[in-house]
Amino acid sequence: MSKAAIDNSNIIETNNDACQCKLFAIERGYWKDPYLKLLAHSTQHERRTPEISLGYYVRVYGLRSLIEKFIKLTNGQCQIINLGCGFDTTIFYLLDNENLKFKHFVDVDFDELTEVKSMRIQRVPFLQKKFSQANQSLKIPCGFHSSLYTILPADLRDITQLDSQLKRLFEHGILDLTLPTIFISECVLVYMSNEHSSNLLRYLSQTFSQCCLFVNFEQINMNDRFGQIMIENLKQRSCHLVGMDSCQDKTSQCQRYLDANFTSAQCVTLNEYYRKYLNSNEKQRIEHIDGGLDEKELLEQLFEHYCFSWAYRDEKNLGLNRIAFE
Amino acid sequence: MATASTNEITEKLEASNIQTTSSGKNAADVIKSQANEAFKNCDYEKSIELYTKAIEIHPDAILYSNRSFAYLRREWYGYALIDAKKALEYDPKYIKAYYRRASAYLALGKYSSALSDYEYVKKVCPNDKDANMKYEECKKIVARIRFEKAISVDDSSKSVANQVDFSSMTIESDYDGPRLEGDTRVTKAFMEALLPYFEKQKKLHKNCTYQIVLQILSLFKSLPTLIDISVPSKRKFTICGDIHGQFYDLLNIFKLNGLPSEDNPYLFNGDFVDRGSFSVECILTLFGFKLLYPNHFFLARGNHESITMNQMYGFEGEVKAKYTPQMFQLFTEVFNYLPLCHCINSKVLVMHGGLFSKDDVTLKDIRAVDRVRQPPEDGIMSELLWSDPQPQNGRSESKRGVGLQFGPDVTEHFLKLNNLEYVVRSHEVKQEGYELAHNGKCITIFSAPNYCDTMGNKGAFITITGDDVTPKFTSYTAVPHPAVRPMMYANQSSLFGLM
Repeated sequence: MSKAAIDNSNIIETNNDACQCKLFAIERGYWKDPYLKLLAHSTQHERRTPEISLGYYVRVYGLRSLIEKFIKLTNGQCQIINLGCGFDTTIFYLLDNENLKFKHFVDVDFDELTEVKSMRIQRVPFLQKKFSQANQSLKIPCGFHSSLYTILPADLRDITQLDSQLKRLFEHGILDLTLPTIFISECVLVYMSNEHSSNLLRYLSQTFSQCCLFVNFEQINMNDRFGQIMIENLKQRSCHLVGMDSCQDKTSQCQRYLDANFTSAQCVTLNEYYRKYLNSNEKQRIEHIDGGLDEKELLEQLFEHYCFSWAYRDEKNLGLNRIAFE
Repeated sequence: MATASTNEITEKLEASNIQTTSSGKNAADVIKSQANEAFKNCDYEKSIELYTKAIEIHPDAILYSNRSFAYLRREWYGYALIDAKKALEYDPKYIKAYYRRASAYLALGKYSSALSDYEYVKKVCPNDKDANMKYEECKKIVARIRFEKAISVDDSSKSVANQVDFSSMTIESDYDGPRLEGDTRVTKAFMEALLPYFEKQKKLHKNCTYQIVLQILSLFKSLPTLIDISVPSKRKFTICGDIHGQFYDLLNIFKLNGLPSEDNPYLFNGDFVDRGSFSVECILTLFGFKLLYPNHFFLARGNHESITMNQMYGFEGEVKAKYTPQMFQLFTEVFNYLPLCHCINSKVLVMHGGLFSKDDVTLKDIRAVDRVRQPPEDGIMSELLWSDPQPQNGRSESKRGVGLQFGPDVTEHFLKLNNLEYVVRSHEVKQEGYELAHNGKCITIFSAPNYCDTMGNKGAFITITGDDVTPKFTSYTAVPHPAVRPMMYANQSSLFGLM
């Protein structure tokens, strides 16, 4: 197996980890999602500690709230591109919610993964019925296309490939360069080198220069003992957190966007989100699910090492500066 | 002709059948009214008798359902269930019969079945207040039972202790580890050999392990929930907090403060296992010393001596890796018997978590707690294992989601009520290994330094003497340990964070 293929499979494996953790949390009742287990084709889920379940809950909840704000701000006249999507079910979440309209949603990931996701969506009736006109107007190898949703295979480190894939969608009128676009990246950039991620960010800000928002979830504050141990642990199972330069602190998180020609950037740690922005009733509910938090310090330590960061370009003056947690 | 006459006979027979049927129904109806009357007069046995007669003549759903009702009143729930089922055989749409069946199920403790019947009734008769009420009641019971089942250990006949077969565990000749004296007794020599053996990361033979754990089970079964400790005047006593599988730091405590002995008694205040990956070594060491010095070595239960925590934070994984699932079940049984609380010289109360949601809790109340179970969601036992002190007066909801937070006034009141000087608890990591709160009346002691290899805290222990219970604190930093990371045996994700 070539080195590139091995690297890809290690990154792809992280999708499995995330799915297993999310599925356990869903099973425990942290949030509802009937779709993930069908996509991930998984039934028995190993028990996770409450810190992990809470972490995934906050991650899903926080990202969704930013997406919702974007949709509301643009009155549904927007595009959503989910980078390194894995088996993420945001598309289903949006389709199930009448108030969250959008023009088109694109899931992007390695072809090994998009192939599986596309196949499952077409084979499982419960999933398949959500999409009309599947693959009729446009055939995407290892992918999927329907009126509102596309699954696009691409290696995000290969800008040429990504560009040619996206061009197809532009040419067929599926994506519109003038429409406000939100990019979602959930633990994605950290698995590629800083060079790759900055090329990607530059490409996106250039191509969608009129109006775009990039929303990111990943590590932060990684140059302490906890961060070192996490990096070590992951290395031991051949998973390399390559893009650590931007994960040093809030400055480094934000600077990378500014360097890539985004106008403005913000960063909020999971701790800040959990303390300031999470509804206290929800907090009570989720903290009770797994019989009590063993050690709040450890939760705080974990949450101090993850963040939401987002950046935008807003030549249309839509008010993307208003996108924040509240 | 033959055909014609057959037809005639058939017709005659059919006619006579119809006649019998209608007269039968009439007769049954008459008896039914009599039965109903008896029922109204609360003469249930008579009504049963009469319903039975009616059923013999002309059985139908209503009669069976009515008789079921009578059986319910007589509390003959088994019969009530049979009749209700029978009624539904005759008429699957007869709502009353569902109701009767649900009542029978409820009385028989078959709550899930009752719930599904009530649900059906509620669906068909949404305005029936009684059906709704029963449904809600039933739902609550089912939820409670499910929860209790999940947290309890079925110890009646399934005690693993009874299934241990020593004959299948003879010690091989090439085993170079410590052995119990006479294959059963923990001796000083055994413990002195055990510690360096564990330090070298070697595994104690399961024969010895089972011996120790079974003997500990027996010992703990004989102990009360609250243990009174008497420390003679001028004699030393040491209290340690959470250890969390950090065996090398436990060895360091013994290095700093001396090995346990009759002259050097210790109390370990819970959370011996989980997180640190040498939990097996820790627990066997502590159990060994308890067996060796039963009146000079004390162990209290922490919230981590429970199934849920062990499943999540590594102890179960470690025991399964080093021994067997059966061994883990045995530990579970043992943990259920750990005492919850110690009282030293009637002055100092020591428990893992903290104090209570109610003002009037006495030592007597604590002694009366039935501790032999998985920690419940609320009540004295839960609070003993989970509560935390808070700086402000009063009580608040726990940040952990279980137990509560209690203020200095709560501590003050509790101490006064029970004639105590101060309370020692553990459960929370502290930078110096200890912390005084509530004007020194509520002390936290935490003995696992650099908790999880990441917190950078010191560990500490308390020493007092019989005549002077003023606490003296010794803090210490972490010592190196072999490269086995914390949570090694726990579920993987906790190691890797969020992917």
